Amino acid sequence: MGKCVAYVAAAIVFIGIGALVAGVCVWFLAPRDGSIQGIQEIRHARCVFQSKYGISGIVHLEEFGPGQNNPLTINANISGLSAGLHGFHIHAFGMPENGDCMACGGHYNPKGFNHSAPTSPERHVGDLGNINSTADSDITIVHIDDPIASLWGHDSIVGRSVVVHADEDDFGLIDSKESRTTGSAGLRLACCTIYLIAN
Amino acid sequence: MGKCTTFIAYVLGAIVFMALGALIAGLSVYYTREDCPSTYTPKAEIHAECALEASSDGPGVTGYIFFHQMEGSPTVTVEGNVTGIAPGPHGFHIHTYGVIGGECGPAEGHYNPDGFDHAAPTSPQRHVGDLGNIESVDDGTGSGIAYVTIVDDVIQLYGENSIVGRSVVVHEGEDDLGLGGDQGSITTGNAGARLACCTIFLTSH
Repeated sequence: MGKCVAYVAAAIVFIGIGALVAGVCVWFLAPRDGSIQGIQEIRHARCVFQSKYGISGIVHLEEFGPGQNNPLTINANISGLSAGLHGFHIHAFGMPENGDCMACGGHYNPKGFNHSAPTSPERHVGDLGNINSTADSDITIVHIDDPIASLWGHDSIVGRSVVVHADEDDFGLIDSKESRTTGSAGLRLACCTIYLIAN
Repeated sequence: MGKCTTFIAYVLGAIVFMALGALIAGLSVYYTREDCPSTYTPKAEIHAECALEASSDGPGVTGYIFFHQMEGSPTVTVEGNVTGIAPGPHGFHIHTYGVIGGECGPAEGHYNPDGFDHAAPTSPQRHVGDLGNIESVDDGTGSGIAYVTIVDDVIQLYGENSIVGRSVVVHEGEDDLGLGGDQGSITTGNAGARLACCTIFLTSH
């Protein structure tokens, strides 16, 4: 009886030692981007639209980090948009100095998913959905809290671009290749490079 | 002999239980860490670019700077040229924030996430943004051109120490590489006015 208790105790102790050693090994060897320990700070970024179609505006982005559980807050005031819904996306590359929005590439999609709605768990990182312009003459005020796009880490959107489209993003719900890649949002009316600012 | 066999059995038992513990601990740590990559992604080459715009202090200074890095390799190559710049050495740095329209002030100081003093690009302790000097030569028209070819392992195009979305600043004077012996030397290298600057953005090529 006493021997049995001793065996069980020994087994528990050895499992404990093994767990400790392995845990420490995995902890130190696993890749990290500083998201476990370290100080959280707020990062600010800005994007100033250029357009051949009379669109202007500034996008301000901010997010606490590093880490993956903080929403990205996007605020923008955009003028010159026609009334209605307009696709609003992060594209893979920045805007060159000539303002060519085609050079921004496709939606930023590091995970290789199909185009979808901003609320979808499987979507392009850049799928921010639509912005709503209430009247032709008004300034469109945009406020988005997004759980996926981020100013931090490996899949950061910094140095990439914001693009405003002519048409509504259909969220990939139409059975066509265009819908599954771009949301059929049409022409790129305005774009800008996302860059870091002090505040 | 019998004692020895029992001893070996104990040792084997201990090893088995340790392994079991290791497995449980390893798996639990692996699954609770949110930044463990669960899928393999092929290594990609990352490209970035910066189109210099002259500030009010550097009329006529322009140029393009290109950055390349293979993901997984620490080495970044920087190439390009700066035109319309007086012959001689000019401080060439990555500053903390992006800029727009040749307004170089908001770029603030050298990009320095580690809090080190300003130094030479070859120094083990330096600002991440410390790329040293570029050398402008007379282009035959009375103006100058500087060809930029830098290979650096400290600036990065992704992850921590990423310079994307920050800026390149070309200075009027020579960077003293932190050897000047005054406060300016260990913060800015005494490289003087900002002639031109640009935001570094990602490109497809």
